[in-house]
Amino acid sequence: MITKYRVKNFFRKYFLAQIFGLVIIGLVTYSILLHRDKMELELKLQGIYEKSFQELMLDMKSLETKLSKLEASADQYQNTMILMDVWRQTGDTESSIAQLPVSYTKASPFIQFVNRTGDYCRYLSKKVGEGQSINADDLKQIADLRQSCTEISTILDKAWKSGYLPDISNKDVDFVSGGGEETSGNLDFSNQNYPRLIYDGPYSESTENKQPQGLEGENINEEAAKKKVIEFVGEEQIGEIKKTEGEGGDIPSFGFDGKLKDGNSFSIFITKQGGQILWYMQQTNGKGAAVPTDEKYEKLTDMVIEFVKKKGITNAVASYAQFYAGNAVINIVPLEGEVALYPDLIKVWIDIEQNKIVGMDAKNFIMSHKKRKLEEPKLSKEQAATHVTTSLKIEDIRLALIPTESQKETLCWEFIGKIETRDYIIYINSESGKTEDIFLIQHTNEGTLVQ
Amino acid sequence: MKLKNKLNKKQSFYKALLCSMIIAMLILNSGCTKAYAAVKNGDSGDEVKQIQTKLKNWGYYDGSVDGSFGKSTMAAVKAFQKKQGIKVDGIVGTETANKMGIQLKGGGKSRDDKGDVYLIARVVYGEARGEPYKGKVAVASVVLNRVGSSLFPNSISKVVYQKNAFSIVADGQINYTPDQDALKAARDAMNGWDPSGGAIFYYNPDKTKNEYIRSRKVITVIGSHRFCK
Repeated sequence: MITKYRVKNFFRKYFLAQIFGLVIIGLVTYSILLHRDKMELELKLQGIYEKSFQELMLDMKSLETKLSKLEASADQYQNTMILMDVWRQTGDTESSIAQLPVSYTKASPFIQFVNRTGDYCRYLSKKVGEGQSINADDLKQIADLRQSCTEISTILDKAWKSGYLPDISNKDVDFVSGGGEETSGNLDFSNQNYPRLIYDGPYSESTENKQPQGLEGENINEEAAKKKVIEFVGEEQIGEIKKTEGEGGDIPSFGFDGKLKDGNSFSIFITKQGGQILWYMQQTNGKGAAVPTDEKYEKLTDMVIEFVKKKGITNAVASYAQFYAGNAVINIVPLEGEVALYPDLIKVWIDIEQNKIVGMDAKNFIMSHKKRKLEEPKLSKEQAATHVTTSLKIEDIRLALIPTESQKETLCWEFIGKIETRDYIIYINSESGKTEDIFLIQHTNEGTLVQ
Repeated sequence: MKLKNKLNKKQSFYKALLCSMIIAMLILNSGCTKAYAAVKNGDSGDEVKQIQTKLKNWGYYDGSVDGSFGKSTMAAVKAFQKKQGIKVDGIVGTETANKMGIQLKGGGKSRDDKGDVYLIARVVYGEARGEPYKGKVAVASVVLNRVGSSLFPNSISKVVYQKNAFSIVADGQINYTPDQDALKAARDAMNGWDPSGGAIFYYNPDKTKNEYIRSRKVITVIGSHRFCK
């Protein structure tokens, strides 16, 4: 009885100490488990990074091999096969780089090299496909590319051998040297010399530095630009207006922010040269992503056509549209005679509920529009139709000018039709009869998507 | 007496346990309540008025906006549903209401967004929540301009998840649910409106120390962000 009492007393006396002890044991166990989990995750992460590094090494070797083969091949068919293979390989390589824990600013020159190599080889394969051969200039560029691949491969190999591993323990995971003297510091691809490629493709220098062609006339000053804004928005509508900071980027422009009398804000860019409206947007408060009835849609497109007419584009048709946030975005294709000018596409935003134009984007028009001399099509409608798959149930045919990847324009016969229930648009070159492009039209709940 | 006391104690313990379990279940349940709110034939009130106004604006209804859900309203709802490609039942439930952009009383919000738009909207919401609307569209444009640039990977997800490219990826804000403004900004940018003027970088001068970015020529300034090439 006495001992029992004593024991009980002991427990009472040191109750707090016991609780404290238990808490300590609990915490220690918990942190051990946590640490084990952390180690496990670190190993997994390290594995993923090492995998991308090893893949990158293999990708670069493979690119080098393929480019070498290209230098040795005189057969057009073989060339096309290898070129397409290089293009595919650059896609893989780019994915491997993107997965490495290398800061995006350090990786970008390397990514550009890979993107342009792939783009260039795709351009070459098209060229070969059109019956031209790979010339001496091309061969020189291919040799330069191969040389760069070899150099990069060597750097990667050295880094790997000297134990260049992703340092997971560092919170800002980076590849750090495992010791070798030649590879101290973080992995950096920005100091490499990459060859300069001359060609026409979506990633080529000429395309990326393309200048607007739709601008004519003298440069205007800020005051004149402001007048243009007032003219466009309407003096009776504008509450206040002020210029924004900056030069406007690709197409040098004056930017203005303002308030309409109804309280909604608006923004607008006016090009410095020629004083054209680059884009205009006003605040809308609509909701809902529904497609209107056909009758209502027709009314909206009529309104938009009328609107662009007043802005000087007298001949245009409405193309596909999207509906979101209470707005309809309608694509307007300017026409020259009967020919649809897709490079000059203009987008117009309408508030469906207010029946009001609330935005416009004329970037494409300003980049591409120019006085064109459209040639008569060499192929007739009927001749072009023989180049279209017989499974297409044709619903409409017209002439259309379409932009190509290399920023050129091609006159095509546009065939709109159905295969089973799917809607397609097929473009047949009006001169050669070749298929230039195929679009699948997706009817989504929010409008039409062209892919 | 002692035994009874013990039993009572035990009982009250179980009662408390049961109560807390019920409360816990209620709390958990409320998080995933399904919306069964719906407006249908025979209903009347402000919600019906709202629905009729919407239907009228979109061209589906030409009767009067009287706030009573009758046969003509039902026919209009059915025509609306048919055109949107959703279930045609003449009842305005969550899905139909979402399409119309109205929130039913007691109704839930369904996520009606897919892929690319949603990912860009998450970037916009994380990076530019407090910015003016134009600044949100500009951030979305930067993502798209990067995809189009030879200096960056060529898909939206690869661009967004590049190391150090967006701080919200590192701190987890990328996983926040974007609001309607962010979604609209993503869509406006995908439709070609680029208030950034073709920028592929932007920074907040108060927050960045990155010299590489700071040395670039500023194209335009929107809110607290400087956009550059």
